[in-house]
Amino acid sequence: MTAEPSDAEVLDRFPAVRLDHVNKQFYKGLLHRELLVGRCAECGRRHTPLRPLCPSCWSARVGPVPVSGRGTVYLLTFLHQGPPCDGVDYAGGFPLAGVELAEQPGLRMEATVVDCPRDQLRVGLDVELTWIDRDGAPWPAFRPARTPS
Amino acid sequence: MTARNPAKDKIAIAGVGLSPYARDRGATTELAILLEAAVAAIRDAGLTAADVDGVVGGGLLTGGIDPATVVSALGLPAVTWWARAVPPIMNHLTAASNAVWTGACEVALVYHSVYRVGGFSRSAAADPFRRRATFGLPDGRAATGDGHTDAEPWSMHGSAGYAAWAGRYLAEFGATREDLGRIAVSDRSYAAANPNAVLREPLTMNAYLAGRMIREPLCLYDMDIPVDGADAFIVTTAERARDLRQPPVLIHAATMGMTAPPEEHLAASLDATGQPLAARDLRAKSDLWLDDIDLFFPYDGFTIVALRCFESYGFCGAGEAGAFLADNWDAAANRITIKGRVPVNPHGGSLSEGGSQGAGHVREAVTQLRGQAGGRQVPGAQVALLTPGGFFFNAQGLVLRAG
Repeated sequence: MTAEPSDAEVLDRFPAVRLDHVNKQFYKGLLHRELLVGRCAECGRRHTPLRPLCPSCWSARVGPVPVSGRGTVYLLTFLHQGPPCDGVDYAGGFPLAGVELAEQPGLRMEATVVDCPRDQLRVGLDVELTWIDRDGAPWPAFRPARTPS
Repeated sequence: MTARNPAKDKIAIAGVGLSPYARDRGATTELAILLEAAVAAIRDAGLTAADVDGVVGGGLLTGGIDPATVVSALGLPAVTWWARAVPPIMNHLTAASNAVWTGACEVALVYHSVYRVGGFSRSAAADPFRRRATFGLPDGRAATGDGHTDAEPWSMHGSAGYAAWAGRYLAEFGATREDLGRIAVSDRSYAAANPNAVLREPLTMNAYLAGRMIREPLCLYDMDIPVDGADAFIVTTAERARDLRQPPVLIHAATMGMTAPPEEHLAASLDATGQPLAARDLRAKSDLWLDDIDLFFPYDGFTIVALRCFESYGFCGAGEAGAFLADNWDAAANRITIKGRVPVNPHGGSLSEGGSQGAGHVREAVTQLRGQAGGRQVPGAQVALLTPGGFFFNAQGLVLRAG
């Protein structure tokens, strides 16, 4: 396991994010390419984004856990314009998906989808986690699942 | 949720004021626009600065103008209640109505302004003063809380979320872009009779379908048109309103709806969002419903919101809105008229008049219920149903009746 990044490092690597003392754990995970969600030690339910209380049972015994990265495209749009960003090409429609993670119904992440021909990208597609670069830091993305789920 | 509605018909909208909408009002300020509407509303009611003892308002894109600024700029001598409100407009109107009902104030000035800023509009970004007026983080991303720290193209907060749910709606029900297009085409047909509408040229279905794609499946014509402008309202007791200059319009029932999780990408389904909750709650509070209304104002910041309103409010079942619109289509006028009788967004809605977070819908409803809508007046209009706001963290509902 990689050493946990320091507060100073996560602040330095994500200068434009409104980091706080809870969500910093998510962003530290990104730095070593680990996608984290909240999990409640009392009821076992998972949640995103990280919360100080479990939204299901209000237990404070919540903390970040990694997910498998397997999921299904639940929501999907293609952005044909938007703010200029390195590595983002709006020309053919930049995909932005809400991916329902395999761990739990309704547990979703929003991310782009890569390595997928446009005509195969649709709601219901099985996907898996991969990583891209956003402003010099690792950022989660999804690609078509390479093995059946 | 409760059916309690002790203020039913006890609170009135007694004045309206408009600062006309335009694609670009140029070198002016949000405060200047807002004050024009506020003064117009106070005068419309036949009141003066000394009569206004409550102030509530706010806009979205700049973070809005603070009530203290309005009190200062209008020189209001004695204010006993104020609040800052985040749009849509029912946040403002509910706060004002409650304040009047409880006696926190007697006459509330309600204001809502839209002022195009740099992160929102390319033309506005050319004005260095408007760039500086942007609310949120310097790159334009939202600053509205933990779940919403990111923005396009990485997050579904706002417009992209509506596009994604529109895509899911089309996929789930086999609906088509034509179904969405009927909302846009109808709005534009109605807008032709509204001098305040910034888009008044007819829109054909073919032109809609050829519209530049912005956030697929939503094109240019599926999203409200950015404007500069403001609306203001005077809210007071029905009793007081009857002594004022204008025919009172009564707040019969009002509601807001939000369900967890309200983030766009986390909402469990369209059935589980705030919009159907607002519909159920409004139904429980209102004596007047779909068969009683003379005017319907589904919020249309995005076509998908208005389309889904027909289902959430019970005009038809889930996935049936496209067929409902086709069945209620007035081919000669190229617009929706429910059962050949009830117009839908007779001012052209946010898509054609200009995006104003439901404030324009309320102004038009009041104008119609007073019988003052001129060439687009619906004869004898007595009851209006409005659904300001979207699906997620801002769904709202309102029934107004002529006093």
